[in-house]
Amino acid sequence: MSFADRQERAEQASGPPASAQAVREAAASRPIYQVKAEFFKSLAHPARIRILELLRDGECSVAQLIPGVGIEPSHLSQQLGILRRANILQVRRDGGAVRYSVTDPRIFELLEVARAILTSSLAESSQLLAELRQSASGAPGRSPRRTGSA
Amino acid sequence: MQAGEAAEVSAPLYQLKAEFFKTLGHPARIRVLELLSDREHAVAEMLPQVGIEAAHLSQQLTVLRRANLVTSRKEGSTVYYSLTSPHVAELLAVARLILTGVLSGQAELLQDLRASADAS
Repeated sequence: MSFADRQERAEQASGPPASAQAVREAAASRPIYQVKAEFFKSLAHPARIRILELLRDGECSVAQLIPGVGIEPSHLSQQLGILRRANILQVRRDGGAVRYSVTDPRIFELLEVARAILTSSLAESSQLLAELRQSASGAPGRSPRRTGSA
Repeated sequence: MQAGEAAEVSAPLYQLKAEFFKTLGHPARIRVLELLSDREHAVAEMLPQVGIEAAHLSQQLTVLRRANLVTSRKEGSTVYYSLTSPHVAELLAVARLILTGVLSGQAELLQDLRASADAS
């Protein structure tokens, strides 16, 4: 057996680590999943969501955002900074005024889909709540459904 | 101003939306949701794809189930997970489109940066 053959055999024998490598490539530890997670995290703040909703009607200055978001100016500029660094917002300087707008209007589509998911999830919870209430006000039976004996 | 504050961002609805995105802000949970966007998966099937320990995966699945993003069903001793709504797959698809734009913008920045470094 030549050296090259032995080398090849050795490489084949080391199959499991190689496939473990392949699995890691496919796994959530890949940088792209970190990037995706960071993207959602940058949306995960009440003030930042409110800012994006206000920008739906077009670009706004900080002064225009303050009453709508209802947080202190210093806190607002901090939140704007996070959205800008995440590339979700862009800035335009117009004379003395700084105007913010979304980089990609599809962010509104994203918020809309999120709202649809939350709406259906809440509808399900409120139905559960109604069933729970009904079972509490009914006879001490375990079933939430009314039985003929009640 | 205080009253305005209470009326706006602290409203439970905005907290709820923020919590929703916080749930999505985890690499393993995104990977799971992407797998389930294609079809229902058994937990054992997801393990090698997500690449985390079984205990950790079941923890993340619980988070997703509590957030009402996934549901599970049991068949014999196998637990299958699926998305609660096709909207979840849609959400991930839109996020991917936005991120593609963001990242290509950064690639341009990177190129500019390299060009300016070469020039100096």
